[in-house]
Amino acid sequence: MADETVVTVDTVDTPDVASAAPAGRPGRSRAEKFDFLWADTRAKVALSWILLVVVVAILAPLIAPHDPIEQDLTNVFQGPSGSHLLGTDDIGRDFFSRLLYGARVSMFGSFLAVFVAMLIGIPVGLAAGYLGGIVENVLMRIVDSVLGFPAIVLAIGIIAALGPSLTNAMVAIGVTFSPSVARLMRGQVLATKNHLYVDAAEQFGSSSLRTIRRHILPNAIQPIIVQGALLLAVAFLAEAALSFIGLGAQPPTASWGGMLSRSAQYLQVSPSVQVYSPGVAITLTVLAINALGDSLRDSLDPVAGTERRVRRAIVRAERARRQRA
Amino acid sequence: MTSSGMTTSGKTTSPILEVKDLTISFSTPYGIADAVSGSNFTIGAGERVGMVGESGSGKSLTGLALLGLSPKAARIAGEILWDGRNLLALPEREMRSIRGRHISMIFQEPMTALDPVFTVGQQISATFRAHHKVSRSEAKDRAIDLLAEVGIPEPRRRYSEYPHQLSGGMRQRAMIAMALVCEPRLLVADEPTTALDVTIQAQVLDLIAKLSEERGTAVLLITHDLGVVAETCERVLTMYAGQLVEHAQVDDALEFPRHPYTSGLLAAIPRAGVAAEDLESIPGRVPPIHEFPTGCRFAPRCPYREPACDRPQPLVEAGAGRWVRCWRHDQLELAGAVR
Amino acid sequence: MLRLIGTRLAAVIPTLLFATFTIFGLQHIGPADPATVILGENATEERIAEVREQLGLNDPLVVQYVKWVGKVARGDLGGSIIRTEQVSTIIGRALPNTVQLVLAGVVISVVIGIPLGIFAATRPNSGADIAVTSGSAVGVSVPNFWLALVLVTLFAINWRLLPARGFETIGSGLGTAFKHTILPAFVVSTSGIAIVTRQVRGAMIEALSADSVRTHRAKGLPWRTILWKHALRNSAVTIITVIGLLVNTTLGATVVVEAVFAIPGMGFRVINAATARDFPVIQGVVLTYVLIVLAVNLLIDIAYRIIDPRIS
Repeated sequence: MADETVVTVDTVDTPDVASAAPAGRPGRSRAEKFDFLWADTRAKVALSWILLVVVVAILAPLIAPHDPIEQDLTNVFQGPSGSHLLGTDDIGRDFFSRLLYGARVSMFGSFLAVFVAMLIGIPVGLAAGYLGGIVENVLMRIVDSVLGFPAIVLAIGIIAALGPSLTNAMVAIGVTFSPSVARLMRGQVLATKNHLYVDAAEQFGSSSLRTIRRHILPNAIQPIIVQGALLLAVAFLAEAALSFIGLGAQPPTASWGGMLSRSAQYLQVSPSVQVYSPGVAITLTVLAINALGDSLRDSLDPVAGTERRVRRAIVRAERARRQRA
Repeated sequence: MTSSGMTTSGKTTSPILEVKDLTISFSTPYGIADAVSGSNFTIGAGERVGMVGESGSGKSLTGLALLGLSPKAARIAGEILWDGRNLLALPEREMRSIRGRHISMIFQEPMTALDPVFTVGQQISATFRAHHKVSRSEAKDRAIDLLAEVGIPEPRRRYSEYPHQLSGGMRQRAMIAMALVCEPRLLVADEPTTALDVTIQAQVLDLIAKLSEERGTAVLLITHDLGVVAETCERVLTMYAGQLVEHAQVDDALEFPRHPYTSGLLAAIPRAGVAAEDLESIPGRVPPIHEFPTGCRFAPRCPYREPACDRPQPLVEAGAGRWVRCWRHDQLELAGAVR
Repeated sequence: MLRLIGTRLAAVIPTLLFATFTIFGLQHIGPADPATVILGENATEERIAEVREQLGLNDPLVVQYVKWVGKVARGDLGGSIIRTEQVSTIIGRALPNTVQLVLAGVVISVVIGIPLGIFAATRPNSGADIAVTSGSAVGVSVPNFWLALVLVTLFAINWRLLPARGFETIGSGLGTAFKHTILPAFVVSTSGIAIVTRQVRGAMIEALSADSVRTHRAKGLPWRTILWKHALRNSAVTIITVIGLLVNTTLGATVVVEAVFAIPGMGFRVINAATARDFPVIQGVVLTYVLIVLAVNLLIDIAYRIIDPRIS
């Protein structure tokens, strides 16, 4: 018989190539989780734009050259000029200042919607997943029903009941989002519950509420954050659309959607820069939020992230070798 | 260094497949590494050859390379000669006419290897029609014939069933039918019984052996289980970490192994009368491809290691028709299988 | 087959119940009393009490709900508050326009999205694939009403190729209908194209990396066959699911786009009704939307079972 006791050298338990790549181990430290921000150009660009918009939103009163609601009926439909960078709208208001102030409305609105969605969705999902049984059944039925409505239509219905205003509109949007948050939350709870089941039976005896919460929430939070980012993008578009049709931000408040609405009414005479700038602003911001969300998702998903990291490492190694040759 | 000129017991074999210096490498973050290094072997007409090794030994990659199905990232060097042509140099179109027709392959997990949304019979017919101009009904008849030959009862009914409706053993038989429908001269079987019940394993292996005998189809049986090879093959190639480490007739290799790895594999075969805990597994694991030692690749796990083992080891002749990659092969008294 | 339809229909009933309850409840969740909304702010208390009695607003909520469902089931959606028409008439006029627009949008999304998705899946991570993926990302990020404005400026105002507003159904002739439909349908389909492309690409990539593809290659099947016959069939379930999602998304998109193009469809009506708090119209329109979505989902559910032999 082969003599096992005389194993001389390192019978090392070497990892395979993929997990040996930099920062590929699952369960990395907090700092490493944000690695993607520095490494990923797309995420960097997206984040910079979003920060810019947020800063503009916060500082609008300080940096806007004019009062956004101040009218000047002698000066309507002006093109871009020195004093009015983007010209004036149909009642003489400075378009550029309104554009800056519009950022506030959109940012505030989208965050509000996501907040409402989480406020409703997380507890519902938690309850459904954790309690199971009839509670879960009923809650999930309700969730599925709400998902059966085209979101905008339901939102319009709610706004009609509550009255058109930015807050009402975004709360309505948040309500239409909450089912998907609830679904996700419930899924996470179920996944962790199954995970812990075996352990719980052995180690914890009767699993305590607090232990499960301590284990479930941290794990569940990550996909919820990713979904939050993606919902933020949709909320942003929804706010613009609702303001466009007059059910969101009410005049004279400046909002990008509302400004487009006025440009649409006077399409033939509005300076073209006024037709394009709010739309471009919306597109870029939504694009950035989506890109950030995707990057977040890739970095938190071990498989996709590792694959990309290994691929990048290989490309780097090949490039280095070609340079040496 | 070729191993042609080797004869199997009794049969005269003219090699139908010659693998020369086959090297399969990949780009890793640490540079280019070989998953298979300089393999040399031949397969004769009607021969059944077993290729044994742990995962990471490069055996599956070798099998895939024979059919031109290597992963896109693989860089392949060397020659694979079939009928005098180098398969590695063939354009895809010609390779396609060889696959399934002259050289076939069956895979480990028949549930995933078969297409779930088509019937079993359709998949067999499709193979036949891909290589022969026949009508649908002719192909169907032929498929049903094959299903009967591989021992599937009620073949006409089974023709119209989907893979998920068949049992594991039947699925694998269906795959064999698919592989043999065009009467190939070589069948590459990659772990065909690993995913099956132990009782079914023997049946499927018997089927492969029987069909091989009847039709003169050569078989390259790739497996990690030496027991499987013992049952069905005439010759065995032991692979470790991308290299061929032993090459012999099955009986010789099993009774008198010359490489410590082969001996170790033998010790790990479950057998009657030996409790599971008493089975000895070889300690350690196959290293990842970029960490292969430059000397003997098995040395880190070898009980007989000596300083001279850190030099690159060539394949040396160790008797008639035997080759070993171990300079100590004639010094060691290695335990063989107890028959 | 009939039994299949029956069971799926039965599964839909709780959803329908809850949806109708929500729709019914809409007018009661607001701060405004429905009677006040109808009569205006200056109505007298007596008048309000009268109307409340008329509308049955003093009955318990559940009773009101049941009565309402009863009326709706008989096709009586009530009368519009701001117009002197029956809601069902209004919807009857608006529905064909919306349906035409949605169908056109869905067709465009599918006809462009599926080939694009397959194209990207067959060359993952290539330059073309990145272009397609980025294009999809932009498609989901562009506000469709703005895209509508831009396209109207170009096609209707600058180049005078297509009408800027108004709508004609097929009844008025294929040519005119096409000219009026093409622009809004394209706008409505932008996010649809992006969604379909992304999903098809994902499903095809997965199907192409399946073990069975390796087997097909080992059999010597041509790549063309593997792609179009096998990989596509295996992706069919995902693709059909997407179409369900697509209809829902496209329906939502029509709401705002109808406003931009002044198309007298349901979206147009519901926006007007919302601004005027014309609840019967709102309820009728929302109900119709929900019924459409449920019907489409039902069809897709049935289609699944036909396509994938594994689902019994």
